[in-house]
Amino acid sequence: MSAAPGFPDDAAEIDADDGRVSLVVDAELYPRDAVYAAVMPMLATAFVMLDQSTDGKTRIELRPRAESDPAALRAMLGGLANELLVATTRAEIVKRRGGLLEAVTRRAISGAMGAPSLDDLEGFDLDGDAFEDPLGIADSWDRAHGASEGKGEA
Amino acid sequence: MSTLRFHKELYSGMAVDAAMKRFERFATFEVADDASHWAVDVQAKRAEHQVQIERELGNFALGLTIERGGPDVAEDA
Repeated sequence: MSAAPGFPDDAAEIDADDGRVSLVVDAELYPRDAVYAAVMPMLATAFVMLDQSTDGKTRIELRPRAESDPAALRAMLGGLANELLVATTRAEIVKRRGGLLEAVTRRAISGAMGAPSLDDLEGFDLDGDAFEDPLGIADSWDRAHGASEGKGEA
Repeated sequence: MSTLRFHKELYSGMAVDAAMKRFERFATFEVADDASHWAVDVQAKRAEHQVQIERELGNFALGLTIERGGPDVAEDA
């Protein structure tokens, strides 16, 4: 078992003899859902075990399904760390911008629902003013500035 | 025989149960639990499958837990 280069000694281990790597992260900095999101894609290529210590650390152990050399183990550990960071960042963005994301999503979905049906059109109130037009933008040029008589005649 | 320990804050009990059910053709299981973990004794019916079953059981329990949205979801949901 050896420490992984580029990681704190007590955070990551590579056991080339046993063919596994482990990463220990703070559960407060890397919430459970982020850990789930990071390891989910790896279930197809590795055996994954999670554990949690009493001091609030989550231990993630990966064991590649295929035989792997130390370089492949290091790459897997690096991939896990990257996925973890991406998932944590996404979770943080959702937490901070949840309302905005929800509003944009709602608008996108309502736009994707397509044109109103005949039943919807039947329910529309077509008698009232469509909208206010204080600048006269909806007026035609001729109505606003007088008809352009004779224009264009040879 | 080996013992797998599934932390209760990381694994759903229903997912662990479902994983054991999935592999009951290939192994026998005994479950004990303490305050923090479910401890599952795994005994493969064929010794050469022991390690493979332990690892697949772990993956299966984790995958189902994630699908369920974590262990906090009401167990009767």
